[in-house]
Amino acid sequence: MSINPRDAVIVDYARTPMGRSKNGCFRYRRADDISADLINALLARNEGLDVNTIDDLIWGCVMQRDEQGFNIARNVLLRAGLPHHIPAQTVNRLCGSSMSALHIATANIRASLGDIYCIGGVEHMGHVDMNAAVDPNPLWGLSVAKAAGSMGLTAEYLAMRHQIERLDMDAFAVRSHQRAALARSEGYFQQEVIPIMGHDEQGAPCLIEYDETIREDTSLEALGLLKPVFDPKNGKITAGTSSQVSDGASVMLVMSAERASSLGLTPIARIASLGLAGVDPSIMGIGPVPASLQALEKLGMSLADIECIELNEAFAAQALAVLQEMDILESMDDKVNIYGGAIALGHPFGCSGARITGTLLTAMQKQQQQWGLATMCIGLGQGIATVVERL
Amino acid sequence: MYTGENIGITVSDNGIAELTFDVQNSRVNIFNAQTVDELSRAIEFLESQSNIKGLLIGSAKAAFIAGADINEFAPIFSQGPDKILELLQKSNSNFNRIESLPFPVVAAINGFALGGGCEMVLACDYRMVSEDLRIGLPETRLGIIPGWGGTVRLPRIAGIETAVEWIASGKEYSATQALKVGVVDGVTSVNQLNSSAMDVLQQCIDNKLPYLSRRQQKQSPLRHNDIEKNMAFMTCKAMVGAQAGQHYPAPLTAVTVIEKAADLHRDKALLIESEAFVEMAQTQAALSLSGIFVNDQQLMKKAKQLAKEANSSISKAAVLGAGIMGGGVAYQSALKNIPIKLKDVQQAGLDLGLSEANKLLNKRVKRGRLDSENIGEVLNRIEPSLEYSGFDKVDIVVEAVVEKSEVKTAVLKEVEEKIHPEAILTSNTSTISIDFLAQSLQRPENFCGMHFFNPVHAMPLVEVIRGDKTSDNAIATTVAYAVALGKKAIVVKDCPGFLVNRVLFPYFAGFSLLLCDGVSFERIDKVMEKWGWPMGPAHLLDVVGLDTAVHASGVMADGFPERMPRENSSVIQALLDAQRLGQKNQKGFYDYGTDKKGKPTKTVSDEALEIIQLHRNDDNTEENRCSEEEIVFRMMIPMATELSRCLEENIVDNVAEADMALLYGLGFPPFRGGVFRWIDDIGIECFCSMAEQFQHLGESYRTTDTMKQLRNTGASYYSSSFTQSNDGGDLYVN
Repeated sequence: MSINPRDAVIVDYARTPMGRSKNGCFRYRRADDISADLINALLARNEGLDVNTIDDLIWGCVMQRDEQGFNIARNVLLRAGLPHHIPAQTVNRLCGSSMSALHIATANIRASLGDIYCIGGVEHMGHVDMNAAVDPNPLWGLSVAKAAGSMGLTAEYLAMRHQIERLDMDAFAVRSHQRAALARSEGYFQQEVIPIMGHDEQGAPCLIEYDETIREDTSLEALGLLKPVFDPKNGKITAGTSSQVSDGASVMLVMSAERASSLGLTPIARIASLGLAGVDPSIMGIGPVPASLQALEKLGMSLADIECIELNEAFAAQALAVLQEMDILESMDDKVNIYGGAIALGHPFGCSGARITGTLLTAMQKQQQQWGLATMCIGLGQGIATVVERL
Repeated sequence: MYTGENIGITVSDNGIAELTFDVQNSRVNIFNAQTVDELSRAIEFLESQSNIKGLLIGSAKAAFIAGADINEFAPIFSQGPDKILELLQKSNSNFNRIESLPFPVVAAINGFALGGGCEMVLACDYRMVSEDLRIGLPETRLGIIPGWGGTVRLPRIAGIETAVEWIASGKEYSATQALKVGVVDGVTSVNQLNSSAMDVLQQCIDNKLPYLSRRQQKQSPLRHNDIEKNMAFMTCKAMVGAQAGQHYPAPLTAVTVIEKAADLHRDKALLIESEAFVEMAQTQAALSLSGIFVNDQQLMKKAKQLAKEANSSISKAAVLGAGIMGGGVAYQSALKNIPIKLKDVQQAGLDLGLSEANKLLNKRVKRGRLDSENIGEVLNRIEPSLEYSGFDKVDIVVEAVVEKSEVKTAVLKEVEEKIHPEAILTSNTSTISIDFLAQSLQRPENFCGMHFFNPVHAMPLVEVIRGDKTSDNAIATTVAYAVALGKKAIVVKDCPGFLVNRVLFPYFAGFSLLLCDGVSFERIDKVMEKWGWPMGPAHLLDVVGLDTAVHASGVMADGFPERMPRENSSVIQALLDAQRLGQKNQKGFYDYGTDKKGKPTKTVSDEALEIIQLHRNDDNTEENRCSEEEIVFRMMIPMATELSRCLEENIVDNVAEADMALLYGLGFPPFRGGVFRWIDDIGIECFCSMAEQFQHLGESYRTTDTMKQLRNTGASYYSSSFTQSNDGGDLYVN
C-alpha cells in the first residue's frame, strides 16, 4: 500500500435507516431535514474536525423540485445550522449522483483545490414522485428508443438480451432480502446506520433505528406470484425484483490524506480509482461493466483482484446481466452485495452512490479486505465506479 | 404564372413563388385525381423556372388539404395492385420532386392537413401553421397505411415513437401538439399565417434556417444503432399489437414498414411502404372501414339536411322519467348546451337522475375532457321538476317512462295537454308501436319515436321512428335534436322492434336454438367475440336484462309469429323464472361481481348451466358437431334475413343506413362493415347455400326475395338498387 498526501480518503460515513416511500417512517419528514440530521450526527461523532474548515458540501439528488429543489445542498446546510461561509452544491447524475459527489470531492482534493469535503445525497421518493413533471424530448426518437426512459423496460430488454430467467431474478431478490435481514439482525449495519427521528405507524414521532424496507420472510414462492409490472404481457420483472421505492440519505467525510493525518483522524480507505462510462440508453443497466473496467485499468488491476463488490441492484435482471458480463456469477455469493442491496434496502436515487460505497466499507472492514469496488448503472446509459483500498 | 383548375402559382418580382390550392366545387381542398395531376404540372412549371428563389405552398380555403378523395379508393383498390401502385407513384413522385426543388419550400398550413395533405407538407422543408390546425395521418382508421411517404418521412422528422403513435392511432393533433413533438415548426394566428410563412421562407433563402440539412435528414436512414432500433421497435410493436387487435392489421403493418425501412434511403423506403399499402388496400378491413367512412358522411349529410327542414330550432327540451334512459338523455342534452327539464313523479327518481349525470360529468373531468368548474354549469341546464310547470315553453319532449304501453299512453296523453301545440312529442320506446301510442293523442302528426340506446352518452345511434301520421316537421325536428345531441340519427318506419331490435331478436332466437342443441353459451360467446362482436349473445343478454329481453321478444313474437315463435326464448324465460335477471341483479348467464381490487368479474354460472341442461333437446350431441363457422352462421343468418326483410319493407331507407344502424346501435364489428357488407364479402352464393343448410331450423333461416334475386344475378347488396346513389360531395379523409 502506498498513500499519497493528496489522495482522497474516507474518514467516516453513515446513512439514515431506509424508509418505505408508501406510508413509511419518513412520510412526515422532508428530504432536507433528514439530510441535515444525518450530517449533524456524523459531525458530532468526529470531534477532531472543526466544521468551519469544510471546503464544500456536495449533495446528490435527482428529482430537484419541490422540497428537493432550489439547490437542496444549500438548504441542507442551512437547516443543519452549519456556518454560512461553507458553500454547497447539488449534483445530479441520476442514480450515480452521490457517487459523483464523491468523485468531485476526490478530484478537488487531488487537484489541491481543497482538503475537507462533506458529500452525500438524498431522495425522498415518497414526497417527490419520480414519474411526475418529467418531460423528455420527443425527438429522442430520431436516434434512440423512447422506451429507454423507462428503466424497467431497459431491464426487461437486458433480461432478453442476456437470457436471464424469472426464477434467477426471484432467487436474486430473495438473497438480497435474506442477506440484508441477517446484516440487520447481526448488527453489521450498526456503524453505518445513524438513527434519526421519524414517525411510527400511528403518526407519533419516534427514533427510527432500523431499515423498514427489508422483508426477511420473502420467499421464492411469494415472489413467484407477483405479476410483471413494466410489461404485463411478456415481461419478467416484478416489483419484487426491482429496487424499492424508498426515502433515505447518506453521507461521507472525505479528506486529503495529509489533512486527515494532521488532524489525527484515522482514515478508513483511500479512493484508489474512478470510472465513468456511457452506454446505449436502452441498455443503461450494463453501465457498471465499462465503468468498472475503466477504473480498474487505471490501476493496472482486473476484477480478479477485487475482493468485495457493491453493485447497485436497480433490478435483479440488470445486476445479473452485469455479473454475467463481468464473468463473476460464480463467485457472486461471497463477493457481491453480501449485506443485500437496493432490492432489500431501497434505492433513493440521490442517496445510493454514497450508501453503497459506505456499505462496501462496512463489509470490507468486517472481512478485513483490501480492495473493493462500488459501481452502479445510471438512467439514459451511463455507469459509474469507485475502487477503494482499505487502509 | 401557372393556372390550373385547382392549383395556381404566382411568381413575384423578387423570385418568391406561391402555390395555392383551391379545389373547385368543394368546401375543402382534397387530393382527388385531378388535383394530383395538376400538382404534377405545377411542379413541372416550377422546375422550368430559373428565377425562383423560394416557394410558399398555401391554401385559398379555410382548410389546407383534408386528404385524399375516399370516394376514389374503392374503384381503384378493386382494380388490383398495378392500379393501386399507380395511385401511389403519382403522388410520391410529386412529393419527391418538391423535396428536390433547387430552392427552399415552406408550407403555410391552416385548418386541416390530414392524410395525403399531411404527407405533402412533410415533403416541404418547413411547416408554418395556424392555431386552428388539425393535423394527422388517419389512414389506419380506414384499414390502410399512409401511402404517400407518411411512414417514411414522419419517423425521419419526428422520431420513431411519434410516427408510430400518429400513424397507428390515426388521431388528429392540434397545432401546439404538433409543434411540441416537432412535426411542425411554428404556430401563429390564422391572420398572421401567410406573412409568418413568408418570413420563414426568407430566412431559408438567406441561409439562416438550414433547410438543406433537413432535406438530407428526411432522405437518410434513421440514426438508431441496432440496440436502440431493436428496443424502439420491440416496444412499439408490443404497444400497437396490444391496442389494435387481430382484425385490424394496418396499425401493426405500419410499424413493420417503418422498421423494415429504417436503414434505407428515402426512395427504397418508399418502395417498402408502397408494397405494404397495396397489401392493406386489398384487405376486407380496408374495404369495410372506408365504406363505413363514406356511409357515415352520407348519413350525417342527410341528417343535417333533414334537420334544416325543421320549422323551428330547439332551444329547450324536456324528458319524462328520470330513470337510466331519461337521466341519460338529460345529461347528454345538458352537456350539448340544450337546457332540459327533467320530470319524474318521485323526488327519489329525480335525485337518482341528477346524481347519475353528476357521476358522468366527474368521469369527463377525470379524463380531462371537462374543467371541474364547468360541472355546475352543465348540471344547471338540467331543471328537475315534479310538475309540468313551464312545459308550454319546451320545443321537444322525450317520454322515457317505464316500457309499459298503458303507462306510456297515459303519460303521453297527459303531457300533450301541457305543451305548446307546435311542440314535438317523442317516445323513447324500444318496442311499442308508434302508431299504437299515437292513437290516444290529439296531435299524432307532432309525434314520433326517438329510440336511444343504453348507455345514452356512449351509444351513437338514435332511431327516429316515423308513424303513419307523423309529419315531416316532426321527423325533421327530432332528427335536429338528435344531431344537436351529437348522435347519429337514422329514420326508420314503425314496426315491432323498429330496425335494430327487430333484427337483434332473431339473432337471440338463433342463440336459444344453439343452446337447446347443446352448444355451451360460453363457447358461443367466445366464437362470436372472436368473430368481432364486442360481446357475445349471452353476455349481451345479461347486459340488456333477461326480463327486458323476454318482454321484448313477446312483442316481437306478436308481430312476426311465423318467424319469431315464443318457445325459442324458453331458456331465457327459465333463467328469468329462477330470478336471474342479468347484470342488473348480478346473475344471468354469468355471475357478476368484483375482485379484491374492485375490478368487475364475470364467471360462468353453474346454476345457469343446470337450467339450460333441462332445456336441451334429446339428441344432445350438437356440441361435438357444431364448428365455429356453423355457430357464426346459425347466429348471423336470422339477423341477416330479417335485416333484408326490413330493407324490402322499406323499414330502413338503404343498405348503407341498415349497416350503419347495427354498427352504431349494436357495436357490429367495424372491420366487417355491416351485415350487408359481410354478405357481399363472403358472397351471396355462399350465404344462401349456408342458409339452405340450416333452413330446417325455421323461417328465419330462409333466404328472402332480395337474396334470391341477388343470387340469381350474382350481384351484391352494395352494387344493387338498394344502395343510395352516391352524389359525391365533400368526402375526404378525416
